[in-house]
Amino acid sequence: MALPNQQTVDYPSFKLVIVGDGGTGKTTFVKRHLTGEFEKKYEPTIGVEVHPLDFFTNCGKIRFYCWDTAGQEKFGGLRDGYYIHGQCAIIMFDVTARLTYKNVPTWHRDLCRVCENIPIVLCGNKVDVKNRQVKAKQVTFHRKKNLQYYEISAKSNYNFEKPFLYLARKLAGDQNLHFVETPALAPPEVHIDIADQQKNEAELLQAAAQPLPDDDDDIFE
Amino acid sequence: AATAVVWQPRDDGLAEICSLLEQQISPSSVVDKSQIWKQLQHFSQFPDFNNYLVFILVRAEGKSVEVRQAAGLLLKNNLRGAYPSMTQENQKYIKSELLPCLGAADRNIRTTVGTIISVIVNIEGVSGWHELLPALVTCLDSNDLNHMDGAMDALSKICEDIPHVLDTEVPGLAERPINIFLPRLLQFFQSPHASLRKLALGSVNQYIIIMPAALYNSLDKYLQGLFVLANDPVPEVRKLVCAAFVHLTEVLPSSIEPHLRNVMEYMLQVNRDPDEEVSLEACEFWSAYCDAQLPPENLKEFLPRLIPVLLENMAYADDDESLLDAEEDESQPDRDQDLKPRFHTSRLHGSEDFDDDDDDSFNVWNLRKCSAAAIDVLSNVFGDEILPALMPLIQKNLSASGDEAWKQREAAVLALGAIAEGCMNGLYPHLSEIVAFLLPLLDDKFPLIRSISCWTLSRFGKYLIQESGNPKGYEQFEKVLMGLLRRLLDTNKRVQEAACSAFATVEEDAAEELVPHLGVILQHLMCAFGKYQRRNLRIVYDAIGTLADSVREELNKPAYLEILMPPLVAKWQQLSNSDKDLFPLLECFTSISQALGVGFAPFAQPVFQRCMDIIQLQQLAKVNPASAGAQYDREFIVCSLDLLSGLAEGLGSGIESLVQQSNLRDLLLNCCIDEAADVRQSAFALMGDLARVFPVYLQPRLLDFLEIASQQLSANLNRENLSVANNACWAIGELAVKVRQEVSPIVAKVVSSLGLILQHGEGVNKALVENSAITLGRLAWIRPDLVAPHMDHFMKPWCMALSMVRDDIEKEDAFRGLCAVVKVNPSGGVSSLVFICQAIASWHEIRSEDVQTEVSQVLNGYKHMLGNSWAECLSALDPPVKERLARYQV
Repeated sequence: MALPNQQTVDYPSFKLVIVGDGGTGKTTFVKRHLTGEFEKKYEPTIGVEVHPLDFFTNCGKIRFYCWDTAGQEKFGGLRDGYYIHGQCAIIMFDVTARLTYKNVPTWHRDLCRVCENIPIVLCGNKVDVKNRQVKAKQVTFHRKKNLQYYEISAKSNYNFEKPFLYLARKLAGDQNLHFVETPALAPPEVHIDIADQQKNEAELLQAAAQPLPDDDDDIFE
Repeated sequence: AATAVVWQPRDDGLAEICSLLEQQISPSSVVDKSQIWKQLQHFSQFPDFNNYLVFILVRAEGKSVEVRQAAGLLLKNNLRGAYPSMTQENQKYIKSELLPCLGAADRNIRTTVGTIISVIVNIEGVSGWHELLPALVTCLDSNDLNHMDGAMDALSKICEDIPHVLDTEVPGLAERPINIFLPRLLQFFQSPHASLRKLALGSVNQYIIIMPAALYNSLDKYLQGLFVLANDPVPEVRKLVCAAFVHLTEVLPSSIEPHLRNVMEYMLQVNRDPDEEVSLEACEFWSAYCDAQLPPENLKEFLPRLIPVLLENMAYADDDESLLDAEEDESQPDRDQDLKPRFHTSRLHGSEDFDDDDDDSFNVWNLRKCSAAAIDVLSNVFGDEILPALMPLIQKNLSASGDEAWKQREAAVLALGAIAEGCMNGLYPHLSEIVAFLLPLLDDKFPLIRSISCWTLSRFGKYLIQESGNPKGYEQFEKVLMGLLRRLLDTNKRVQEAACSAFATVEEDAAEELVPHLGVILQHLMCAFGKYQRRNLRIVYDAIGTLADSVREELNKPAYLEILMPPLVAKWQQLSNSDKDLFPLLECFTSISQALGVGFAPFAQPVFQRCMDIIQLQQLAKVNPASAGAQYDREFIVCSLDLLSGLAEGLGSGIESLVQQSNLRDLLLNCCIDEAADVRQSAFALMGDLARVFPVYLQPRLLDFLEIASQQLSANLNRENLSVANNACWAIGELAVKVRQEVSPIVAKVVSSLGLILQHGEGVNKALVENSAITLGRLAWIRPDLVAPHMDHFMKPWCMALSMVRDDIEKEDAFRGLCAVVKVNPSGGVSSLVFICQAIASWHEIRSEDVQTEVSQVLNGYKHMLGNSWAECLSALDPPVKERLARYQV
């Protein structure tokens, strides 16, 4: 990845930690922002990757250093070690895999134990998939913990800017802050190599797709 | 005792691990962190790697806190998997290093130690670590802030992660650990240090749900403690106090009942706490109270003071995202990121018993939403009793003048909408006044007032027209209708959206009342169609579809079609066969063709051909996207199949001329064996519709269709396959009554599958159970000889399912079958006679004489057959059932 060699920029920058189960689409999500590049294959993130994403607001440019952390335990690296000095966070789950929502409290707890009182957005990804397992009205975790919740689709770009805008407003303490131009995004619906993704995710999805005991929609299994 | 050799790190190893950790967490995005992680992993193979980590955390004074913290967190993660397999020596070393660090001077070090301790306790309980509890007690009692804070931090994490551990007998301890800690926690409620108050409060709150004896016996102390903290200067503490009361109300309402007055007094007060998180937490109390079945009269006396607070809190907060969203002008094109992915719902025959509502608007949770929800709940519990407190305020707020009061006016309109259902009795006499008040607000200067007024008026719409015979009600209904139509053409996107949704609600409620206004409605809808951006355009399509569903054939007038069809057809021609914007248009045409019936004939040929083209293009794209020039997307096939079903339903046998020359039969058969459930679902729906209107067309492949359909019934019936099975089952029945004896080869197989579904499916999927009962009946009617021998497998659930089906032609068919099998095998029905009687009694009226006669013969047959036991059987029936049976001369 060709990145400017400078670490600090002369405009405000914030450390944003992105967490959530493996395969929920964290990497795809950050890579929709074309400061980076678009990832066609699913390769589990190892440890962490840091992506600097710039946004243009009415108060000037800001940068989020997005710490895209590994969701899969075996590739987890330092895991919560990467949260140190995080200033804001996104917790991602996959609305087509119930288990990823059930694990949200654990991600939230670990996050709060390292970063106290930071603004956090909960994102339900993959709302572009037809038969979702986690319905909108079943998502209630954010109410108890005062998080913002957005449904997103990293595939269609739906609500891409929303989480960043919310965090930017909180960090700037300015509820009227808004983005003045849309960052270049990868075009929606780009064909992802499904077979590749399925192969890589198979192990993970097998667990996630298992109907949970409270799933009473299936008969005669 | 021999002094154990204390483990010591090697200096070079220590330096290297620290350096790698530093690079791992450095803010640089240039360093390849996965590479460095691999190097770090190399070290982790050494058996004493974790000793290094604890050493860095606890003793590496010269290193940065970040590195030490990172070492601690990595240690914690390692322990979660590896602890049990570590040598006892290393386990001991790590534990012994952690305890002295509970009171470390740096807070980040202390809290990391606390996190690790909780993980170890999670793995081996407290009994594996004798030194832990005494160490915690010593720190808590030390009166040194760092030590108290560190111990409280560790303790609170144990309480959060594994609360049960402390409420368990521990060998060597005289009492459960909770008995030792609870008094100390309660004592910390009064600590001068906010951090300790917070941790102690949070820890005890964790036990509400478990309610160990120790806490139950100290409830008074706990509640006293809560009241003492009620006005704590720190908002987070107040929030925890509120959370405790809400939680106690949910879990153990009896505990707060003696203190109700004080609790409610307090909640009322913090409901207007300057800190929004506190007031939001407090606001949850009222719904919790109502759910907890605590005596409503206690709450009732608070209503005059509570309602003003709720109403006040319903006003938009300054940071509400809707405020900025509402500034968007209609000329601004919608971006991809503004468009929520939408889905077509495949056709399903029968009653829907699950809703796929994915409206995420209620996911926004804030004081406004929570307060509105509370008003809604109160209106359902108390009904009109809340009106005396509420209405004067609403009136006052509505008349508040001036721009700066717009949020009050808006909240008042929201409140009216929220109580529309719960308080309708009380509001009804004043309906015309209220509506008269609201109508001008549709033209308010503030877009959010215009949009909320659309919503609230739509909630009153159905009551206006209920007032039949009252010309004023109807006149006002017309005003509401015209007002909403005017707002449909608003220049503000949010108002357009609200008006369109409100109008759709009115369409459903008013149905035929819309007929006199169809012309003007269509003009507005099509004008909106011409000017909306992509997001709202979808809602217009829905509104058109709903309109067609509501007024049906009334739409079939040349004057209306001249307004409606040209813009839709123009759009239709403009979109390519692989453009996803076709989906809502295909759905819209489905509704229109069903509504117009044969009136759709002039449009049918190009629509039919387009559907065929789309399906063929997609079937090609599936195997060869390059030559198709399109990406495969099965949604195109599903939408097209459903539109073809709509055509068949609308045109009836008129579909013959379209279908005759086509290759639909083979296309359809292909779709019936598709691996995607939604394609099969729609394919079987179309098979059923074709069977109804033009069965001859299916004849050349009849056995293929029947065979494939019957396979769907024996598949693993998970959520997706349920709907496929449902449609396949219905299609078999429709085809069976048309081709009669030709269905014979599959009867035995289908009956055995249906028997299983009826036995196991009860209460799981209403539509499938009903369709199974009907199809089973139809097959039994045609081939009673094949069905009767298996009666005892399904008679009881079959009869029960038939009892639930409402009177219609399908049910008549099913009873022809029921009677036929009973005649073939009367003794096979004896054991289910009570259920047969109940099924018969479920008819309000059997219209067909032949069925009536059959039923009467069956009943009398049993009467003769059973002799004296007939009376016994009757006595098991409910009186209304007996009464109904009397119609059949038994």
